[in-house]
Formats: sequence, C-alpha cells, structure tokens
Amino acid sequence: MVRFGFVVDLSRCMGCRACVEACKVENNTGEGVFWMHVFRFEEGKYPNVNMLFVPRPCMHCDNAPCVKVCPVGARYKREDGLTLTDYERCIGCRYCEVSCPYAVNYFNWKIPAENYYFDWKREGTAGQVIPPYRNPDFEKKYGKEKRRVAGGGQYVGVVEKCTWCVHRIEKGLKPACVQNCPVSALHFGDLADPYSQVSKLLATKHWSRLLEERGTEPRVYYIGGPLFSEASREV
Amino acid sequence: MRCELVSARVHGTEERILNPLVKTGKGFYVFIAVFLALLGWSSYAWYTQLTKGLAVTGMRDIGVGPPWGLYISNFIFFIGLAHGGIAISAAVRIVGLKMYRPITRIAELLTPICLLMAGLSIVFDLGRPDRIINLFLYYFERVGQSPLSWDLAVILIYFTFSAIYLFLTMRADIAYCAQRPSRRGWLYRLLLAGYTPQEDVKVQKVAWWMALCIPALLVLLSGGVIAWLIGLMIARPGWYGAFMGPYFVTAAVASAIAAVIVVAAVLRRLFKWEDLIGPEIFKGLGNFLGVTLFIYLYFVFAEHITVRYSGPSVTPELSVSQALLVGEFAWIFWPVLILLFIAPGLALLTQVAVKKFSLGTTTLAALAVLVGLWIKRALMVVPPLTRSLLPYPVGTYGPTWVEWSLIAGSFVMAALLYALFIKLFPLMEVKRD
Repeated sequence: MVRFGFVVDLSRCMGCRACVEACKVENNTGEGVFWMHVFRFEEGKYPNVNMLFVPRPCMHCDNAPCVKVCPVGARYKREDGLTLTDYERCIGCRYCEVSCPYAVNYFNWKIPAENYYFDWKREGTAGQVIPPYRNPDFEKKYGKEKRRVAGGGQYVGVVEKCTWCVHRIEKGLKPACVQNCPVSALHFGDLADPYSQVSKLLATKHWSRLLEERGTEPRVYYIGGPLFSEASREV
Repeated sequence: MRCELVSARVHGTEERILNPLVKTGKGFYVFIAVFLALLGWSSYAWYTQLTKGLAVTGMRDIGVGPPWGLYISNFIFFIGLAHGGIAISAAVRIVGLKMYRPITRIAELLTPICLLMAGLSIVFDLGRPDRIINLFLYYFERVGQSPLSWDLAVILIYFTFSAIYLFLTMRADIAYCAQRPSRRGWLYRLLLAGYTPQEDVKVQKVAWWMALCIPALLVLLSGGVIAWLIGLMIARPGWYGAFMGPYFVTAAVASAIAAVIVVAAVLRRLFKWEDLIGPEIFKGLGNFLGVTLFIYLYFVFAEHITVRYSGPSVTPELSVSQALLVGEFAWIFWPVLILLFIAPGLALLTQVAVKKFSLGTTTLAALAVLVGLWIKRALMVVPPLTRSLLPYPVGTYGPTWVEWSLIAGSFVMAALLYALFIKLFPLMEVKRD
C-alpha cells in the first residue's frame, strides 16, 4: 500500500516561492488563495542574522481534524493518505477551516470565475485559448471512490485546499511545487517504500513536524535544521 | 351565590385571555406590515448573498478574517434563548413552582421558535445551502465524529420534543377554543384529532415525564454539543478546553431567563394582563438572573486569568485574551462587561438586598443582559478565529450590511411567528384547575 509523504529540506529552501507560483498555475487557485505558502523568518541579531524559510503545503494529517469535523464526509482520507475535498458534496460550513491548526483551507467566497487576477470574462481570451478555470483534468473523478477532488476554482461556496496535485500523482507525476523547486528542497514520495527518496531522507536525517504537539500526525516532514521558534521574527 | 361570583370572575379572566384571538387592533396590522417589510429587506440581502457568494459578508479565510462570524454567534445565541421557556415550564411541573404557571406557555413558545431561528442562522452561514440535504444523506456516516452532526441531532430532537410538549399541554385549551364560534374552527378541529376530554389526565402525566427529560436535553445541547462545537477545536486558541460546557450553559440560562422577562413584560403591558402575570413572577426571575449573571462573570474572569497567568511569553491563547482586554476588541468588550453585565447584575441584586422591587428596572436589566449576551457570543466566536497557531497575519472583521440584515431577519421572523401564535392560540391556560 502506497503511503504518500512530503519532505521539506529547510537547509536548501531559499524562499524563492517558485513552489507558490507553480501551485497557482497548476491548480488555478483564485486571488488571495495560496495552497502552498512560504513563511519567511529572520533570526538573531546583526551581524549574526539568519534567514529561515518554511514552505507549508497541506499536511495531509493522518489524524486530520478537518476529516473528523466534516458533517457530510466531503473531506475524506484516501487509502494512500491523501486528504481530499469532494467539491460536489461540500456544503460550505467551513468547519474544516476552523478546525485546521495549519490554516490550509480556502473557501470560495466569490464565484471562482470572477476571482482571478485577470478578468477572463471581460477581457476575453486570446485566440480562444481555454481559460485557466476550465482545466479538463479538474472535471475528472479520481480514486476508487470516484470523486471530484482535483484542482481549484471549482464551485462558489465550497472549501478547497492543497491536494498534493492528486491529478498529477495519478499520472505518475510529482506535485507541481516539488517539480518546480529549483533547489530540490521539496521531496515527495512513498513513505511505505523503504528505498524511496523520502524514506531514505527520513531514515538518515533528523526531522520534525509542524505543531507536532497538537497530535494531528502531519505527513509533511521538515529536515535540515530546526523549525521556527519564539525567537523567529516573521518578515 | 358565592359560587356564581367565582364563576363570573373566572369567566371574565377567560375572556381576557382569549381577547388577542378575538380582537385585532390597528396596531397589530401596522406591526405586521412593518415586520413584513423588514423581512422583505432581509430576503433581498439573502438573495444578494446567494447570487454573489459569501464574499458579501465580512468573513474571510484565516489570516485575513474569521471564517465564522455573526451567523454562528447568532446561532449560539438563539440556542441559548431556546432553553429558557421550556426549562421554566419543566420547573413548574417537576419542582412545583406554581407561581410561574401564568407564564409557562409564553415561555415555552420561545423554545421551538428560537430553535427554528438557530437552524436558520446555520443555513445563512452555509456556502451551499442548496446542498443542505447532504447533512441528512450522510448523517449516519458522520454522526460518529462531526460535532456539527451532533448539533443537528440534538436540535432536531429538542425541536420535536418541545413542539410536542407545547402541543400536548395546549390541547385542553384548543378544545375550549373549538367550542367557541370562530373562523378558525377548522384549524382547532384538525389539531384536536382524536381528542377526548378524558385525555387531560393522561396528558398531564405524559407532560410530567417529558418535563423530567428537559434538564437532560438542556445539558446535552448547551452544555454539550454546542459547547463542543467550538470547545473541541484543538486548532483554535481560546476555544479548546473543557471549560466551554459550563460557560455556555450559564450564558444560555442567563439569556433565556432575560428573554422570558422581556417577552412576558411586553405581553403583560400589551394585553393589560397586569393582574394575571403578577410582579412576583418578575421578581423571582430577576433574582435568578442576577445570580446567574455573576456566575457568568466569574467564568469570564476564570477564562482570562487562566491564559494570562502564563505570560509574559506570548502564547496564541494569550494573544486572544490580549485582543479582548486591550486589543482591537477592547472597545466592545469593556462596555459590554460593565454596562450590560455588571450594571444590570448589580441592579438586580440590589433590589434583593434593599427589598424594593421595580418591574421597570428588572425588565431594563433583562433587556441589557440580552443585548450583552448577544454581543458576548460574537466576542467568543470571532477573536479566536482571527488568531492562529502559526505566524499568519492577524485577521480583521467588520460585519457587512448583508450580515446585519440577515440577523435582523432572524429576529423579525421570530417575532412574526410569535405574533401568529398569539392570534391563533391562547397564551395562557384558559382552563385552570
């Protein structure tokens, strides 16, 4: 059984936010929606100042609070560990958003087609190109549950969040953020396979997880140094 | 001779109780017209929200604003109000507090109406109210885990229960109304299906047993699932903990008693029932409200001392407390605490101390508490949603006209339902033993 996991190498991340860019392009998320977010911190005092960058995708927790609180089962856990949202079942109560310690959920407050940086309706599309909110991959159903879970900008009034690019994973590709990282700070793979890159990294390096003490069992592991602390100043 | 006199007086009381059903003044039509106009405005606000999405509200994602706002706090407020009526009625039946008997139905009626409005507030909050059927379709799959499903269960049980309770205790009066010539005879006869005068004894027994269950439901709803809706959220500083249950029950009882005082005082004045609903009723309720208020204030204090003692290191919990006491919510928090909790509480308890009762003061204090608890509910819901455990920006919240209109709509709707009931059924037991 595949167990997908995500490893972030903090010693490599340089805070370029190419992952954020890749995610937005791949998933057609609306204005102000960042499924991948990078915290930027400053530590220490001049002249010994250190910068720290912490990318934050969805943690796809094993003990996911959002899955527990969902009153309709729209947020669910797949066998391979992905925590996904069924856009056709969600009633938009935003309980998942309230319950998530990592704040990775984004609600479609506006009608998605009217919430892009570029107004496709008014400006039109050059040469009848398919506008970004019509990616055919996002209209397919995925997994053995056959549910509509991929991509962003789907329906108004539903909650969306990082899917670890389920539509790419199912094709055997890596998530867009991992693919686009110029310094290989992000790693994605099968935790159940001891010879996978992520398993090897976790076996050889010290790792930590975000808000470990909240008991959510996140599947995103941080290696290459300590996470931010009280002394870190956000910039 | 003496017997005749007594029956004449009773007859007079019956007529007065039934007066609102028979006579409808000009004022009533004005009230209905104004409230229907307000309801129309709320419908327009809801139409705006349905067509444009929840972007027209002040709510936003965490880091920008709170994902839940006034709709959810309004929901919690109405759930709290719902307890009062039926709890008083239960007390009358179980403990034998005969004194409160004249206001039992006035109070009981609040329960189903407020539960409906609580449900409506949740529907306002949903992004996809068109998919609300999913709550029922996947209910059995989710009830094991989701506190929102627990809420749904308990609210539906409570509504069914309180509606049946109200109906059962009304049947003798409906039978009385059915005997009188009335255009609504068909409605009374329909509701009386299967009625025999002998059932009254049985109904009293059933009502007694139902009244026995009511305290359990009160704890289950306000001390339980409503509190757990937010108290179980490990992600929210200021919510997580075992504290929410007793905190919520106290607020619920205080707001419910206050609502009963206000509604009974208004109806008493409106229908000139001053002798039927005596001041001793308000005195008793007012004393109880005063004590409950100070228990609530104790909880507020306990809440803040618990998180503040850990300072000066800034935990997310402390930042929520800071936001309330000195931060962006302080300008609401302190006036509410002083003017709408401490002042009315002191006024109510002073009345006890100096043994001088004023109905006006009591009603005004109850009204203040009602407003105060509505605001306090918002202060409980919103601040923990503007802060997070990770270093996101602090969210801000300003309710928009759509939110205010819909919330006004829920109160207007409650008033209209209450008025409809007044025109159809007697508000007090016509037949007294």
